[in-house]
Amino acid sequence: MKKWLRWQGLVVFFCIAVFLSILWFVLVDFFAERMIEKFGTDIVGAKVELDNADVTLFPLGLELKRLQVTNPDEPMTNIFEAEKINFSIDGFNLLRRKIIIDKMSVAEAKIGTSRKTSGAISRKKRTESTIQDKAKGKKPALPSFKTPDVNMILQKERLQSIELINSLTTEMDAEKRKWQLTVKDLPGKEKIAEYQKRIEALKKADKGGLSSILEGVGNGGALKKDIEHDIKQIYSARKEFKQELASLKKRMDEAIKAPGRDIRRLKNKYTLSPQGLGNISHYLVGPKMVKKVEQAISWYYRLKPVLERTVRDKEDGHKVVKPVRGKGVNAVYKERAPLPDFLIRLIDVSLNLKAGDLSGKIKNVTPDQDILGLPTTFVFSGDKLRNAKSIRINGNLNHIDPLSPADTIKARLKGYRLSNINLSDQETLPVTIKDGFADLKLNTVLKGGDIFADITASLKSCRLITKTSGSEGFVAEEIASALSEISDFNLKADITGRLDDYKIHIKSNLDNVLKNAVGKTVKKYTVNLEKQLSSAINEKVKGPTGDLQESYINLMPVGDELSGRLTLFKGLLGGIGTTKVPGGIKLPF
Amino acid sequence: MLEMIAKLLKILNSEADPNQIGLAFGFSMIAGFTPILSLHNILILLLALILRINLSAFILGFLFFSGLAYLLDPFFNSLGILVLTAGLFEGLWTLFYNSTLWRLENFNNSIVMGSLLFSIIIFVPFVIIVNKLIIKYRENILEWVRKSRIMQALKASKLYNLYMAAQ
Repeated sequence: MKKWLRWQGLVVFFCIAVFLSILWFVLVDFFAERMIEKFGTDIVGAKVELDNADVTLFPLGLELKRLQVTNPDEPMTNIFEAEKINFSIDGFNLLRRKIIIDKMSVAEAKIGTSRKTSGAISRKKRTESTIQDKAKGKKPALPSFKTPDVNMILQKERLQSIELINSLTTEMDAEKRKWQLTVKDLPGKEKIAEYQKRIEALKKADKGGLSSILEGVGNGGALKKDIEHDIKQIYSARKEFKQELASLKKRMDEAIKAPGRDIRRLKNKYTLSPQGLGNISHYLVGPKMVKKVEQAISWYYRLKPVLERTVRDKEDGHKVVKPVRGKGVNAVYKERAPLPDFLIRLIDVSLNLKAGDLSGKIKNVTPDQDILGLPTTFVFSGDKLRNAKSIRINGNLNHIDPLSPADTIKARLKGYRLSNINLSDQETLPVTIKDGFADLKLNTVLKGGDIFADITASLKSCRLITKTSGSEGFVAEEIASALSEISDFNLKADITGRLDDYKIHIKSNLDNVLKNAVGKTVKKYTVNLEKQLSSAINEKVKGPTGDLQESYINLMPVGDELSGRLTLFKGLLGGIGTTKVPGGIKLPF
Repeated sequence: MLEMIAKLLKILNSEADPNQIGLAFGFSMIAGFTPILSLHNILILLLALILRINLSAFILGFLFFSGLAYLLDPFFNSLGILVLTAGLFEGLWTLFYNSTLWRLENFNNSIVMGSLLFSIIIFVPFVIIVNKLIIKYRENILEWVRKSRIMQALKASKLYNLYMAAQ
């Protein structure tokens, strides 16, 4: 036995264990900091930074100092910043590879703080451009208020009417060539001459004996058949030609009317339509709202892994999760007392906003709501704040059934003091609320990939500032002037549809005010532009229309030729029809 | 690389008990094939230290089998999935899954399960084979190797100097 044991090995083992424990204790803070930064950066898509992480052993917990989460869409701004976060971890469950945090406290959290250095990472650019591209596609663009020069419009725009007329002219010329060839192939003068010879021969046969008469009868029948066949051919061609001519005439009439459509299209494009004028708030506020909604949706997708696992294949009684290359896969079995792999039961947050300080509670943060059986909920509230009478935001993020998640978020802001709020950042008509007060209500429901949201804002005692460069034209100036006289207004937005294909409908009492203010001017301007467009476009299409009509007229001789031939051939048939046998008996053909 | 070959020759040519060398290679195979930060590897280290096995062989074997494990990972992964998803063992795995010690062992990871199972199954045959090979080597090949032209050439090389330095 002694031969096989080496008791001093125990001492070495103990020394190694002590050495590794000291090493762990020295390095654990550093590793915890790096892990949080890396994990956070991967989720957010922009830098997540920590000033310091301190792991405590008794009780087992972690204290984080100055956590900064960069806004991936604005790398010089933190979307979230917290001075201090601390929490203790359930040590027993940690041995079972489960991170269970009963209570986490987040102190002095702020939103939208500025950063000293950019928090962008290489992946960020892609995310931002994706959001911008998506937003660009949905943005309702405000029409230019500049008085456009008709010649400039016509240089820039394709006139569909000219294209239509030219293509029809080309088609008619091709038809003409086709029909000329067809007519050439049809029985013509040579055939007539041949038939006349055969008729002459028949007439001569009348003067012969009975055998000549019988032979004449046979020849006459054959001749009539031949002529009738030719007449049929010509008749059929003429019928087809007439049909095609009628169709071309119809299309020509439509093409001649096409400039009217171009005029209407360009007028609508370069002027404010009555519909557009009646919903100008949609153009003013819409782009900014689309951008905000896109940002919110991108954050929803970023934070979704915190609410539910994306990969979980169920097989019989067990599950196989997270297939990571080179790391293997972890099989999951039924637990006696099931617990999520990650769970924060309660987060106490003190949030410092511009409006004032809010306190909030977030409950049951876990990607395994199906195991916990409870949804993630949050509530933030504050009364008698610096810049608002009250704020209350609450939500219920229910992913208990991952196949049919249902999230609801409600927000109520009362007496929120507005200061230099950018209402519209449209280049043509930027509008800023210099100061004022707002009451805001937001109800959002996200259900199975669909969004239903309504936002109601009531704004009072507002001073609206518009910066028109003067080059945007009189309509922009009149709108700016009308806006400057408005102090109270409301806005209502409805967002409905799929998260990747939603529609925003915005209504406001600004619409009527602006419609009344600029309606007459816009109408006058529209009539004037329509006249100018009409004159210029009609001038432009004059030549091509003439060519088209000429091409149509050029087709006429084909019809005349066909009719002429038909008459000649019918005449031949008439000649045979009067042929009589001697004795005055009319032949049966 | 040369240093490793020199060390291997030193171990094989030494007077150490073939059982001690075989067992050292056996333990190193388990530690090398399975992920290093596994609970059972603490036990392997403890056994390697308190049992009178050849530590040089253990370290050398650990380096070799760790390298080999990268190539065998897909096989271990498939074997692990096969075993972990076998209906026959579901009750056992569920029992283990509810035990803190086994969760700490990370037995439910396909690579841990596959590599550990494979190592344990071939452990005894492997140790016996290595043992026999060392005996055969010492009986039949050692003298021939010492007298061979290659060995003579090697004696004049850097390898031999390393070998001598390691003595």
